Amino acid sequence: MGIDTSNANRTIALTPKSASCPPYDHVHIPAEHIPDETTILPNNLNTRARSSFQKVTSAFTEYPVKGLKGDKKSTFYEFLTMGNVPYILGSLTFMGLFNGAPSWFPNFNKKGARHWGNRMALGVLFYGLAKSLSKSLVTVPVKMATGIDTEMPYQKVSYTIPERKDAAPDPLYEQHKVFESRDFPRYDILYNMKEGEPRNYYYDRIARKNGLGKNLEASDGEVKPLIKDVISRSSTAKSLSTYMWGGVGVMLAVQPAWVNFFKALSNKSWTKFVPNKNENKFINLVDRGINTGKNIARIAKSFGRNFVKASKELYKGPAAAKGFNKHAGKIFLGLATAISALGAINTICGAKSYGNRKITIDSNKKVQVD
Amino acid sequence: MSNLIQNYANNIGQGISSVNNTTKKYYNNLTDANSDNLLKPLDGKGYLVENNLVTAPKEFAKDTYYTTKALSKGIAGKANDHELGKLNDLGLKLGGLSIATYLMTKRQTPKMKAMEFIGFGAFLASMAIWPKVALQWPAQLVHGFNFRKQYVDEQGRKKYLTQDPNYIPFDLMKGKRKSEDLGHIADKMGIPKDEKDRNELAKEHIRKVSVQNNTLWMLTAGVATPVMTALACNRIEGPLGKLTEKISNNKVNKMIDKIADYQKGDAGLSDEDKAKFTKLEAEVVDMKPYEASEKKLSDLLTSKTGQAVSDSDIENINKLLSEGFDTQTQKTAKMDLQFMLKADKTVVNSDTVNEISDLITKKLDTKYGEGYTASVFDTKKLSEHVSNFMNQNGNPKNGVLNPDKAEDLRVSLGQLIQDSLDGNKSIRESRKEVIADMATDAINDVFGKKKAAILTEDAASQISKAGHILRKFRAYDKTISSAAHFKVENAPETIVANNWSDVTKTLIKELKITPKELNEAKSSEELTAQLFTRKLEKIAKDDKKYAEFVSNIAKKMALLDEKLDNPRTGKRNAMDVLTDGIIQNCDGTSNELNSLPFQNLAERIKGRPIDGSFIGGIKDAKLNRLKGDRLDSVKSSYMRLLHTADFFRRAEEYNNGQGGFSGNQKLDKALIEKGKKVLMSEHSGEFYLKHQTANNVSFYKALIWHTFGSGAMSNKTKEALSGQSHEVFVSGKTSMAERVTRWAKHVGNLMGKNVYAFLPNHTEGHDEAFTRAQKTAVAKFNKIACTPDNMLYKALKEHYNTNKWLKMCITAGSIVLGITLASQFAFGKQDKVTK
Repeated sequence: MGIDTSNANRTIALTPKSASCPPYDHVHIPAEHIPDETTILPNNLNTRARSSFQKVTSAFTEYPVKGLKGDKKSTFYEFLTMGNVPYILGSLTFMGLFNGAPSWFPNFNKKGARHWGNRMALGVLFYGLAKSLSKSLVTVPVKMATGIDTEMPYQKVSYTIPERKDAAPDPLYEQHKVFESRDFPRYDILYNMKEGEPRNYYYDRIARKNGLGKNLEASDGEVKPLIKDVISRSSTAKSLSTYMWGGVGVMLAVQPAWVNFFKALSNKSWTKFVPNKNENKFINLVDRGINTGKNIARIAKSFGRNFVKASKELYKGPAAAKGFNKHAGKIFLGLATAISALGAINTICGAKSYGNRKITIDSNKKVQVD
Repeated sequence: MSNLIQNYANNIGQGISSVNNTTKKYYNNLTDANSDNLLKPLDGKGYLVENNLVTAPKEFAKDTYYTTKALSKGIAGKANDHELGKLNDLGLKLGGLSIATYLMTKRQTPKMKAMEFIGFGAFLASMAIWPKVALQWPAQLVHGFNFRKQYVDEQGRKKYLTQDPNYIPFDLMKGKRKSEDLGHIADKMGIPKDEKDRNELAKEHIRKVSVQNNTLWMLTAGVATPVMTALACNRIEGPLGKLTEKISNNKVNKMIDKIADYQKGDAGLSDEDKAKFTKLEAEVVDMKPYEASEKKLSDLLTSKTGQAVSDSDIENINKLLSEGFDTQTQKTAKMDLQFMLKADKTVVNSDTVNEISDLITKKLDTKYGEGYTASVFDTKKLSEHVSNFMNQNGNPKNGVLNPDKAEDLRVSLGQLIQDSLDGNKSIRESRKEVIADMATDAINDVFGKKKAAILTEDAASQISKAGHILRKFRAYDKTISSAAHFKVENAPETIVANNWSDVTKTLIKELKITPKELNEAKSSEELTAQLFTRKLEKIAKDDKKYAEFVSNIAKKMALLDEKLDNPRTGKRNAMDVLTDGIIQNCDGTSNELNSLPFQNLAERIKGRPIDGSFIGGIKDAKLNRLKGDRLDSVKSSYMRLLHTADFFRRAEEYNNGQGGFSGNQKLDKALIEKGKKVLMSEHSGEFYLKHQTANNVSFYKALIWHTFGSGAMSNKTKEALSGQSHEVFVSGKTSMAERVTRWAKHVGNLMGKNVYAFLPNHTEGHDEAFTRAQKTAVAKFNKIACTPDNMLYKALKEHYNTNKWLKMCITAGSIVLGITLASQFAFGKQDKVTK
């Protein structure tokens, strides 16, 4: 993946050549100043995919190695990033528990156990997907209304003191969100965001959008408390709603409609390719590819069809059921939607009312303190 | 100015000296240098959290309050990062609860519903327990400190002391206990007392071990938490099942007691007791769920009363009338409705007269030219005549005439035309006859068309009454059926299903089947039969083991009747109450329907009277379901198992020279060998085929006699089946030993022993009188019941599945736990630089 590691081989100094501090007094430190390479990244699918890849691969490889050694350079960020490991391994283990055992079951018992196991495994997958995707239900409206992208990503690059003499400092890459912390948002990297625009370009924009006024003397100072407000409210909304959506994902996955999808997914349903002896290898290879494509398209269609069917089943509830049993799907779907919507509205209203409150003070008017 | 500064400095010094500075004391003990005269900071407000069983409730309350406060601050935009983190935990729990609640709605039994919440609880508990048991405690034992110690910082935020390796607030470790004492930790590390920077080395050790453990926690939790959750759920499921069964059974038994009270009726009760009875009736026969549909029926009938009803109207009425019944009953109800609403009435109104006039005019004008009819007679007279007739007959509603009145009108109309023609001298006689015939044909045609089924007020009232009776039937039946379902139905978590599971589990346990045997036997029923035979032969050889085997299994079997019948002093037998309830409901409903024109429906509910009993109706089906098919087959299966054990024991005794079969050694050997096979493996099909003995009638008769009919039982079996715990078969009030013998003799008789014939239902020559119901193929199938090898085979498969799954979980869990525990000994090794 394309995470920038070009700095890895550059020799960059932290302190003057003569400087030394135990226990690193053996390390040679060149006398150049280290530039801050921390950069804001575009918030798109590409960045998200690359960031996730970097985080997950590091969480499974680099960080555990450092952590198990008790490395002095292990950080809290690495510990938090390793939180992905139990999340992923746990999901796989749950899937395995639901599906693994039936392999050894006698033939007649396999089917029933697998049907439920498959659906629960799909539930684990849907839980993660729904939880992740549902963030947008809060972040997108908030961004549209306030201009603040609470998921704005940035890559932090830092350098640690090398272990060996004359070695280049080790670059460390961390994937963060500018507004992931309410206590310490990265205000510093929001200055000079756009070339050719004023230093406070970003803050001016947010101030204008939220009714704090135009051409403010110090828009950054005005906007920073508003940003904190938005982080707090939107984070609350996301915490409460995304898990609820994750739950809806599981509820969707346990609907009977998916049994048909698993049938479509099974080996038995896969149309096998038989090479034509009269054709050459290339033609057979192309035909094999076409056959595979057709099978995948068939499975994708089945997924789509049953997704719609399962959604209806979740919404309508079992035909024979009554009361809560009948309407439970509807209720939880409504609850998740309501929490997302109310969370987003609360965040937007907070930002807008903040602007209204602030506008009562005329920043151009001199105030004399007695 | 200088005075001010001096005063300030003095005040500071006084302030410090007046504070009980624990930090100062502690550091004084740690270092050789005397620091008494040094200026030291005040103690911070942060503190380490004491987490133990005593403080747990207080900490829980504090945490809950903190999270609630965090939520309100979060919504108001004031929550800090720590509080937002707590809200994330809250979201996780709420999401989990929503999943458990939804999955609960998909489950049918109380146990499975409860398991959804227990599963989620077990998941949360596993998340908390794993790092404590597998990492925290072992690490504390090996390294002397708790790396998951929590502290509350100056801002009141509770955190783990070592979660951020670059910021560990060591100043909070004030040596209150050994695990918070750097000196003690250094001792554990083996650092010499005189080592330079001893405390710093201890701090580095703490940091390093903490980073290692935190990493290992992250690496292992993903596997350990699900496995622990699964194992915990597996362990809880059994005891929970027993608890939910007890709670549900008590609840059902209470309802059965109410049914029993309802069955007594309110005759002879005082006014006060009658009021109580009305309340009881409303509970047992709860009509509320049926009120809406009853109103629908009533509305439909009101809207159709006095009108002609079509086939589709009858269909719609029937749908509401027989709502909730099976297709056969619905068809029967329709049959009654069609009979009641047959098309024998005639509707006479202005249209009728017009149609007659039009038809006569059309016929005559076609034959004799346009305008001819008008010259012959005045059609207005027809209208007047009909009007007069209807007036004379009291102007029936909607012009509906009964068949006799309609006939009178038809004849009188014909007469009217005849009179009119007679008075007309201008028409020839021969033509008059033709005209009269044509007019009569026209009248007949119209009257024929006007025949209709009319929903009279009487009919509407009767249908409405029938609708109420049927709904009352359903309301009472619902109460009885829900109790009966829990007791005997072929569904998860019923009394019978749970008991079957208990008995089969006990069977596996008593047979002492090894994992290897289990693995082989679960492959086929034949292999199971071989294993079962081997095991039973071995057990039968040992007096003590045999007695235990029979007694332990029979004790479990006996519990079935105890749970079903709920034997209590002063209370009626629960199953009898349900049986009587079905009879009372079906007979009562049938009698009431019989007084209305719904005789077919009445018969459908009560059954057709054949040979003095009513069969083929709803009552018969319900009684069979309650006590016949299901329960009889289960109990017969139990008896067959015990009888098989007894036969094996008798065979063993015979081998030891005790007891006897036919007295002919060669024959006895063959009888024993075949008898074992018959009892162990042969289904009703083989019984019908006379156990493949077509070429040897005498052997067949001897086989049946010695295997089933002789009434012989080993003394050892009798002893094992004696005692109070085996005499709780309330219904029959007999001991288990008697029951087994009775079952065996019954099967012997039922399947034929004196007459050798291949007719499935022949019972000639039997020395026991059977009812017609006892002789049906189904009854025989139920009596022969499940073969012991089949019973064991199915149980083994289930046992194998559970075992395999458990083994997989335990293996995975053990490996992870082993690695985690062993890792402690590799953690904390000092690297060269530190040394």
